[in-house]
Parts: sequence; structure tokens; C-alpha cells
Amino acid sequence: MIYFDHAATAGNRPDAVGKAMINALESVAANPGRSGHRRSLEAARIVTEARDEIAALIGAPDSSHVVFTKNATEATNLALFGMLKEGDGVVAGLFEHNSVMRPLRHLEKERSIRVLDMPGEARTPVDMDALAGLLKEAHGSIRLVALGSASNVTGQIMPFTQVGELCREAGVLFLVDGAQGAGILDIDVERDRIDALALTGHKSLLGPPGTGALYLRNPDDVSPLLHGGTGSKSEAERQPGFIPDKFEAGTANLVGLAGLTAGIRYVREIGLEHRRAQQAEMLAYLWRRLGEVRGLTRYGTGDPDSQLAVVSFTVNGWDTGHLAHELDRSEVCCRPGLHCAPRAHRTLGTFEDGGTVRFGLSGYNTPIEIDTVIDLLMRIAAG
Amino acid sequence: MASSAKHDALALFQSIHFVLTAERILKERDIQIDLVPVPKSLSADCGMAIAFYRRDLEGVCELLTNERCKVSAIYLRTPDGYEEVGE
Repeated sequence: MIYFDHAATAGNRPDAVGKAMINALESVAANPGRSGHRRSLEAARIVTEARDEIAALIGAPDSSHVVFTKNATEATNLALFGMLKEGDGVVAGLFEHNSVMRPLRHLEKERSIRVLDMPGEARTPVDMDALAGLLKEAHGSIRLVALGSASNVTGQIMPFTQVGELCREAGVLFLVDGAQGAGILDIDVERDRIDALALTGHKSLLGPPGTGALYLRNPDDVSPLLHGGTGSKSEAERQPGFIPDKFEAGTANLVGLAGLTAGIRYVREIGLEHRRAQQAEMLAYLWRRLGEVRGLTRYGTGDPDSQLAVVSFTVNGWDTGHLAHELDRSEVCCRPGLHCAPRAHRTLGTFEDGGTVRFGLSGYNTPIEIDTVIDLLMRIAAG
Repeated sequence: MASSAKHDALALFQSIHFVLTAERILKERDIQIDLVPVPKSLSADCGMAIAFYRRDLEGVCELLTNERCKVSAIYLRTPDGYEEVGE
């Protein structure tokens, strides 16, 4: 079996992830931050460790500004519903996932926000000069810019550092959806002037599904999505105003967070530079070999400096779903369709034909696996 | 009334995250502490506090300047209960 769907969910994890989860489930198994007995405190330490680990990964000076969610989607929802007010203007990247677009479309109706397209096009997803002009001419009517760290469709890396600088200069909030890039790209919330960073645990952070987080620079101005028990200020029937409790009603995903900590520790031990180099090597080889398949069109830049090892393609005469199914029959796992990102496919011009087939590779994949899949694709394309 | 049989001072925090952050920092400094329930006479909060010896008051008070700990109050035990430090 060849797993080329790491861009959806990591298919391999270090052993430490499962071990940490089993330990949390079988040996700790208590409610973090509630009862105060030794196992409850041990559980709370596991949660605090996860918070500290994320903060260290993203350069957050205070880990209490990291709040847990069940995935990046809940994190982007918390950021957008919590930050945006009636009539606010928002600039949304051209490749944004529905985890950003759907809350924005909802808020267009509910709070009359205005959603503007990021100036740019498929190969240059952000026109920096045009964005600077747009923010300047808006005279304060644009409150937030939302940009993914990398496209989940083409792996294109977005210029979040430069956009963060523009936003800070213009006094505009900057939300980064780090789902696809975190754990491979160097994302530093201080350097990149990020006001809100959404993360998910189950992709390149090598944690389990059901874990995620949102970093908030100024949590005071953000409303929580959920209200409920926090183990603090229990005498009050109103949600506490202090972080992280303000945003964490209900029992935390102890087992998942134990695994997430182990995943991020592995990522940090290996190092982002090394992981990025692995991705570059995989992309370069995959891109070149895909180019050898007749009738196959690749989307993206193919340049390891501006693209992760995520490649979208179509093959003449093939429906993407059928093509992926054919690959699955030969035990190759990949993802066809729109990838929950219709906006990205409209930008690429692949929306009308039902999207693309996407290969998402990780450091666990090998050139031999790529060769095997290319041979298979050549046979399929030849009919 | 007693929060800990031997310790005679108490630090209260905004939430368990800050209790555990402070616990780690104090243990790294070899300050002897214990995690205890917040006495109901001090707060209706059902959370935890850090009990310590008043001889370590200075070291613990340094936490007040540590943004990551969010100490909400420090108390010394008296014959009548607790007296807040710095009030």
C-alpha cells in the first residue's frame, strides 16, 4: 500500500505518539484541571505540556495564548466569529479552504461583513503592491486579512511573512490558516506579525485527528465560541474572561493532546529545516516524474522554494474520482475532487471539471513509491 | 482551614494553566511546594493553589513579575487565617 494522502491526514506517525496516547488513556485517565487529585493534576500537566510545545513551535512568547480546538476548522471559526464585527471588511486569500470561506460567507449574512478577494492570480497568489494599495485605500474599513500558510490543493506556499508586515503597518488583523504548513514551514507568530494562527494536529504536526489549536495575540478582543465548565471561577455562571479558560469550555481531549505533544516533539527534534528539505526532495522528483505521463497536467509551481510536496493534477479523459479509484484498486491512496477548497479550484480553473487528483507526500514516502505510482499512472493514461 | 500541614504561605492563580506553569518554574528553582485546593475562605473558586514556605516568599514573589504565571494573590498564614501580601 502506498499512502499519498498525507495532506489530508498524516498516514504515519512516530511510535511515541501512540505510546503517549495509550499512557494518557490507561495510566492517567482523569479530568484535567478539575478534581485536584494527583491523576487530575497529571492530566492537567499533559494539557499544559501540549500548550507549551505548540507555543515553542510557533514562537509564541506566552503559551496561555494557545487555546485548544478539535481541528483547524474550529480554530478558524473561533477566530472569525470571535473577532469580526458588523460591517467589517475581510480580504480572503485566493486559495482559502472552506474552513475559512464558509464562516466568512455565513458572517456576510449574519454580520454584514464584506469579503474581498486577495489581489493576485494562480501563480502569484498575493500581489503585494496591490494588497498594500487595497489596505491603504480602505481607510480602516478592512479589519482582517485571512491567508493560508500553504494551499491544500497545490501546496503553494503563501507569502505570510510579507503579508503580516503589510497588515501590521496598515493596522489590520492577520489570520493565518496554518493547517497545511505548520510542522514543515517556519511560522513564527512574532516575526510574521500573526494575530491569529489556526493549527490542526493531524497533518504535519503528526498528532492524532481531533486535536487543533488557535494562537491569539490579543485574546481580550475575541469572543468565545463555547461557554461552559472550565474548572475555574466555578462560583460564576458567566464564562471567565481570562485565557486559556475563556476559550476552553468542557473537558479537554487529554488523550489526543498527549499524542499531539509527542508528534510536535518529534517534529522539533527532526527540525523544520530537515522536514522542508525532505518535502523539497519529494516534490522535485514527483513533479519531474509526473511530467513524463502523457496527457497529465500539473498544477502549481513545481518549485520546491514555493511549493510543498503536495501536487494536484488531471489526466485527459479521466474523471478525477474514477482515476483515484483506479489508483486505490492498486493500493495507492490519494484524494480527488475539490479538496474542500472550491475557491482554490476556481483560481486554478479546475472547478468546472470537478477538481484534480492530489498527491500529498511526507518524509515517510520514498522515490521508489513515486516510481511505482508513475508506472501505474502511465498504464492507466495509456488506456 | 489549613491548606497544607506544613507550608505557611499560599499563591493563587487565574487558572490551572498558570498553577502548573508556576509549579514547573518553582521546582526548577528547588523551592519546596505543594499543590493544594484553594481554601474556601479565600476564594469560592474550586481550583488549585501553590502552598510554600514563607522563607521562600521572595522567590515566589518574583513570579508576580513573570507574565506567564498570572499570580492573582499571595497569602501568608496567620493564627486567624490568611493575610494577603502586598495589600
